[in-house]
Amino acid sequence: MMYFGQEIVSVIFLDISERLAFMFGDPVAKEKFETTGAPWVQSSVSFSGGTCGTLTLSAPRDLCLEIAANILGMDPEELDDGLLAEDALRELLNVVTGHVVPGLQGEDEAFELSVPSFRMLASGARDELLEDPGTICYELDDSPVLLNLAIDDDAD
Amino acid sequence: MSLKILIVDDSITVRAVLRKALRITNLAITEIFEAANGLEAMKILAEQDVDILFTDLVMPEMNGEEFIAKLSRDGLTDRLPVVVISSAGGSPRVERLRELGVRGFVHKPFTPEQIEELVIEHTGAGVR
Repeated sequence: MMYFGQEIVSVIFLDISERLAFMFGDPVAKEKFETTGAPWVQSSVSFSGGTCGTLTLSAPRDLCLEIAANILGMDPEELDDGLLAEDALRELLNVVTGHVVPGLQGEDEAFELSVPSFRMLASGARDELLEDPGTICYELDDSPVLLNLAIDDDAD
Repeated sequence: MSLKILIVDDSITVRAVLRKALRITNLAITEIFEAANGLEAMKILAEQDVDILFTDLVMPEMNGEEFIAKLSRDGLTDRLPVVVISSAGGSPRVERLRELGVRGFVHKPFTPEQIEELVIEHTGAGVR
């Protein structure tokens, strides 16, 4: 079952991942979703306008390096800058959110986005996120990814 | 015509991609400057003559809209083409930015072809 906005989020996330990072993916059922033992990281963007909420993208850190390399047209081995991996995850989410919000509230309404945050994600927090009904699971280039949409209750 | 271009975006990835996109065009480019926010960009503009400026909107310190409003108040948008490349948008915002003097608006993700067309359109530059 998909909650409000999740279908829009799902389509847009896969489209932007393909166009921005040249990565291909599919949604995965939660019961079939497999995490890895590798360190995970997370980025969040809050949005406000006709619809308010937060979009959160969580992924293994290694995938972020691949996202950065793909966006820049380089090999991951050429990138030894951890900041680029962090920045690439933030930017991917930023672009996804910029397309999701008009999809949720319509093109004609203004909206604001926050500067994307970034943090390491503990395995416990990742498991909690997996249980959240607002979370969609993906495999992106064979790597697990979690995308969570939280709509503020008091939004119109 | 040889161009000096300023890129304003807090994302090092976007700055790198935009720099790369500009370099693979056939435009004659002398120099590409980079700033992570509006404040840094103002410092560069105080010292350099720039032919076109690409700016994001969502940035820390001085965001893109504040930066563009400052450029507009200072009369810079009359002679300096400003193009917004951003994820943030919505028709009312785009309209507000155009009133401030913004010449173009690109919704991320962008392509090198879009960037080349915008530079040619707003600077009159020819390809090499």
